[in-house]
Amino acid sequence: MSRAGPPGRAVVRGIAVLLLSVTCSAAQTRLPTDETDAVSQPVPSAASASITARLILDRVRPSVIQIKGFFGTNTAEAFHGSGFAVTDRGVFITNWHVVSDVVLYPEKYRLEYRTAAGKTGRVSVRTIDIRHDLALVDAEGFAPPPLRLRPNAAIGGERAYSVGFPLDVGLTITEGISNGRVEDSFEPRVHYSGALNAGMSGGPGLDGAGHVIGVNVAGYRASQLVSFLVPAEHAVRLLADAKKLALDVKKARDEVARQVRAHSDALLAALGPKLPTQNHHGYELPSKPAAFVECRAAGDPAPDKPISVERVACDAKSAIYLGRNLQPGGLSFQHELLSTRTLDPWRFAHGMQAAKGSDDVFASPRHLAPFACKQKNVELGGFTANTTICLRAYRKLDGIYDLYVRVVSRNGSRQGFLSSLIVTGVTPERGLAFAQTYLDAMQWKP
Amino acid sequence: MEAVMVVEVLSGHHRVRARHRFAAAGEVACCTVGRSVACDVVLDDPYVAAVHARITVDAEGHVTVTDLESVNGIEVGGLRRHGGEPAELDGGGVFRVGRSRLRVRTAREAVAPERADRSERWSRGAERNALAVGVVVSIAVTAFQVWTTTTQPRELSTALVTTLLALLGLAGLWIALWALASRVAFGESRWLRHATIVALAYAASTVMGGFLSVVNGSLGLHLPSAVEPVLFGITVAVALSAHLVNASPMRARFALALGVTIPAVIIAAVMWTQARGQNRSPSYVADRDHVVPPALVMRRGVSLERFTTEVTDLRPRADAKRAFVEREDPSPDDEDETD
Repeated sequence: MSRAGPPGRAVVRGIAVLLLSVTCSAAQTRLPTDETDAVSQPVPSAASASITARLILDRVRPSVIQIKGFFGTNTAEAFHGSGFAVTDRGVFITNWHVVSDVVLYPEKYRLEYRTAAGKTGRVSVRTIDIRHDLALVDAEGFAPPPLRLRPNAAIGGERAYSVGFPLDVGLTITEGISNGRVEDSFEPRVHYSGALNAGMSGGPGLDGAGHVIGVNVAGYRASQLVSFLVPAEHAVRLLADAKKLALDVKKARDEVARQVRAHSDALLAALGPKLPTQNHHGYELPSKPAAFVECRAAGDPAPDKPISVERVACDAKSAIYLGRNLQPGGLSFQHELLSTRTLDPWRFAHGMQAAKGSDDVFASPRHLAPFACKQKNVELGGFTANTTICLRAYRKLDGIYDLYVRVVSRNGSRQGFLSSLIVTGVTPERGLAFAQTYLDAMQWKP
Repeated sequence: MEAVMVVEVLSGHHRVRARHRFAAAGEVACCTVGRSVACDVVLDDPYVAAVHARITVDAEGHVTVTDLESVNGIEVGGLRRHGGEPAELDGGGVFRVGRSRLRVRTAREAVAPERADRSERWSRGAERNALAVGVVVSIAVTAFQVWTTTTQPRELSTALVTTLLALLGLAGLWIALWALASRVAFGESRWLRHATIVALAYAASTVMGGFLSVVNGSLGLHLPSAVEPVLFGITVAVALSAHLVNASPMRARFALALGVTIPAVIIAAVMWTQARGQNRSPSYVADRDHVVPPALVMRRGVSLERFTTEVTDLRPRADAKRAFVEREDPSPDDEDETD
């Protein structure tokens, strides 16, 4: 899932639902719609629970900080999120996407904290866990009592609370229900049915006893009260590994690239060595390879055109947020199936030529270099297909690439398909091996 | 030996208005220029004296001009002269009297060889046949293209009529412009000639383009995308040169040079801009090969194993592109702000 804090490419990536990064909003003035959305969301009323909420808020108030990012020497903030104390020595946990700009552009951004009581000071990043969207930070001169982490504790139906600094309106608590672990997500997430708004990222998600069950991460902008927490056990693990993984500011980009690689390796490993397939008009094509991959299929129910088109699109929703227009770690593939009953082979071939497919490979030239491609007619399982394989390098992250594969069938005079695959932020070896897996799965079985 | 010269009165556009021939059996031929009827060359120029100047030529063809005490004098080689001294005319033989321009031609002048009249090389009948072939092929190819792209039978007739009419209108306009140029240059429109050129060029370029893409697709040649525009450019160059030869007095060699240069520059500029955009865009994927019906596929593809070993060189190529782009720092505009 991608956070759109700094409004992401997610929209263009074709994800149907607009995702709202709960937290690290790029300065609110740039996201006026977030505010109106936030206002219009109904807050669950629970008069009986309000006492608990007040107690919890009083208890966590000293330990929660607002983390603000500033561009250059500006005193006006560029973005902000939340964080909470996890040790008694001034170590706080927050989201990676709250501090990502500072890690990637340390010479451009700086971080400061502000407590509920108004105390301010510098913040430095200690460790990052990009895959789980977590970071440990040090707050200079502020060491409140830590909150207690309660790992593996998200139970569906349990009352839950979320605390943070949404939209710069001060410390806020929202009340909701934990729905337990999200089943079909590559990254482990707790589904919290409560409000999470921009600025609350990195704040604690709490149970009724005031123990941390997760870290606020994201909410769907187009839906109401569907929000997510990073399970607390990942925070515990990060804390345990903090010494070993201490972030070297000068090599931060290498560390980011390494974590993206590890994420993509894990993603491709999770898909296995062989992809499941489904038969479409005689072609066996890769289908939903894992529970966390979301697949949608659509077609024209009443075709009035001689060529009827069906589209299948699968997305692993595994992209991780590094910055605006920079969200590697994703995997998606699409098939566009064309068939005709009335057209002759010549005009059908022309229809195949004109079919757009989904070349959804947009990228910012600032972050990515152009594609290097190879195109050939290749004999796949029982049919010839025009196949293109491309790689493009990340300009400032070493060793990771985007892989793009396009397949256009060449054997059918009345049916055919265009298929495309994009895997972002992967090593060339893993990527090309997966391209082979993808192509291997394709068969002509009329 | 005979001294001979021809004095030409020129218009502002250097066209000859009047021509006078003077010959003398002796060493020198001479004539006078002025407004008076007593002069050999009479000019209707109020800035010219009654008897303004004298032109002499010797047997070797050396021409001198002498001002005969006029108010305005004569202008030779850009210098105004008054009275006395005869001035020698240079190669061009042009000088000014008042506001009139005269040119003196002598036997020394080299005469260019007779130019072959290519406009009449083809008989009219052959030309008509060529035109008919061009028109028939053009219409046939266009109709085929319209048929290929129109999948709905009910839209076919409309698409055919509109496309052919549009094509006819454009061709008509083009032919009319060239015919006008021919009329200015030669006094005859040469409709048939220009129409033949257009029809043949259009037929050639469409047939070649279609043939090329079918061959490319059926043999899996993966020809570079530049081939088609280059072929198109060659056709345009030939057509343009033919138009120029028939619509201006320029020599065939020069017309060919011009005809090649204009489309070459335009097509090269367009291709360069496109290639540059593609080379710098991380969102551009290689152009798709042409799709042909399976019956036309003449060559089997490579095996998947071979293809996957071939693509291992993608990494160094992708890295090279990374270096290429990095050298030029992208402008802030490159960072799109679209959401």
